[in-house]
Amino acid sequence: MNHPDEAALARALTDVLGFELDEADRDRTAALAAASLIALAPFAEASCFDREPAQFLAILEAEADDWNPADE
Amino acid sequence: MSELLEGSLIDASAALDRGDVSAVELCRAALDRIEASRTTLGMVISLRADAALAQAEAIDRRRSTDEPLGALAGIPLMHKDMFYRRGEVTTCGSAIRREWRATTTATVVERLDGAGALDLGRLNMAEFAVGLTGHNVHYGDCRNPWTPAHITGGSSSGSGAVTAARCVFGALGSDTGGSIRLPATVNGVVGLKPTQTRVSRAGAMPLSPSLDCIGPLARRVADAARLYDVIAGADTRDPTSSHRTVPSAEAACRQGARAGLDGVRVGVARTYFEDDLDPEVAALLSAARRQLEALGADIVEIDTTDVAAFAQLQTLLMGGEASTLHFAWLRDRFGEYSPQVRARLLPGLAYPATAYRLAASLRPDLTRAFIDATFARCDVLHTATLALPAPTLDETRTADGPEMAAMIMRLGRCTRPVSYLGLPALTVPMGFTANGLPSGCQLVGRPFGEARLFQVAGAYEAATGFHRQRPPFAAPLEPSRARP
Repeated sequence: MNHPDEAALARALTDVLGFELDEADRDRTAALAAASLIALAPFAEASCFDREPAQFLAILEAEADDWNPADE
Repeated sequence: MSELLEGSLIDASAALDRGDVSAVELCRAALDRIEASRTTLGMVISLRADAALAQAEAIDRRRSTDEPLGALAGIPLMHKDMFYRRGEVTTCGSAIRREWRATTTATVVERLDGAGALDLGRLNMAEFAVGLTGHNVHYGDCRNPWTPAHITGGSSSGSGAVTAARCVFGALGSDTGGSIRLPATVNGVVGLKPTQTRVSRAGAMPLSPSLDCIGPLARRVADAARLYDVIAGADTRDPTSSHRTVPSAEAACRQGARAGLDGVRVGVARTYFEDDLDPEVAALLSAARRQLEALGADIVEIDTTDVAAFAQLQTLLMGGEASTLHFAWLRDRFGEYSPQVRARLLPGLAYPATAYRLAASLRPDLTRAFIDATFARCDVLHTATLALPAPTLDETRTADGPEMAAMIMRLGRCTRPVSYLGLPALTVPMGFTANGLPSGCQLVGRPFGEARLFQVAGAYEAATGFHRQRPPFAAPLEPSRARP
């Protein structure tokens, strides 16, 4: 994911959609997708193993601010 | 009547309680203002005049028999055209849903109905809530009541414009990467993106379920607080909604306005949020911090974790989810999307599943690290909401060109990382830039810390009073009765 292959992304897009975008649409979309994927570069060494996305909601609950003006 | 619509929701509610005005009179006055402004500002998609008047008559009848009434009894509101009401058309700002009728009613709409609010209609928005500017090729661009050449922000464009234009007291919006906060900022009103899971999304159009939040826009902090108090809390129809108790935001606001901010720690990030700020916005932000300090707050510098990647991770989450939701229409009804919205949805179809999953899997640890690094030292983080003065519609009319991605990143620079983290964020007016457009600051809190945000914003608003300035293109004070 450090160096996304724009041609491969464009092919994937065509496969998913089931039709060919015009060249400008296809190239722009692939470039935008590649730019977003480059954002993962700092996390290239990260593993999804033992990382559960649903823990996100548990962390929000665990880190809650319980300040209540009624308590003051 | 005009003074009531110029003022706050809280004051109008008190006037209704005293019998100084009836709900029907207030509703008619609001409808007159909407009619007088809708062409200039392009903020309305559909009006519910008869239905709202029927609601108002029912409220007046109940009041005359001393029946107990809700916290919003007789208050005129309008909402972004993505909140469903069974049997009524909800366009989502799109051509694809131009005639689609909802089969359910949104929980937030039911809660506002239950509190006695009047629902006057549905508002313009970015097509399918994809867009931060207020452009809409299907229903016309929404225009800013401060100067119609400038953007309203998006995607809750009509919600910001109709509230600033003093047509109604507030509106619901949705926020996936800044779509409440940016319209609030550039229209000079207050906007809250609640904590992820704080407000039910049942019956609201989805864009990206991991990120979507629903919240209020209003002219005054206490008005937004009252709207939030009504809509927040657990909902069996939205299984992700939190069961945590909701402290009164309105009480927190009053406490801040009355007692100031002694002992409250306001954080200023050393990096990212302070980088790349336009000098005018930076000056307004500095003045706001001096004001907070004068109110008793301690201003503390914060070393946040590296926030720069969060905006891109938000893009991956949103892109992956939104493109999946829209996949069938992109395949079968491609030509019915505007070029810009299509261009923003398509990249998500090219993301590998592994990339999307990694962006989701990193979220818990990154959020915990950010909270630990930031909120160990402060109670709220203070940033700009928009890093630059509000641009014009023409300056941001990028369609699907290569500059589109850069423009989206620039407009959402301060809001999108907060969406990835799921934290609550409240934007409140902090002054005006040289182009005459409002600018706002963003208060970010710990999860479920909305009350703290309202406390700080309530104190700040009471000391500054930017809400008293009237947009030049707000509704006329005494509009002629255009309706039959």
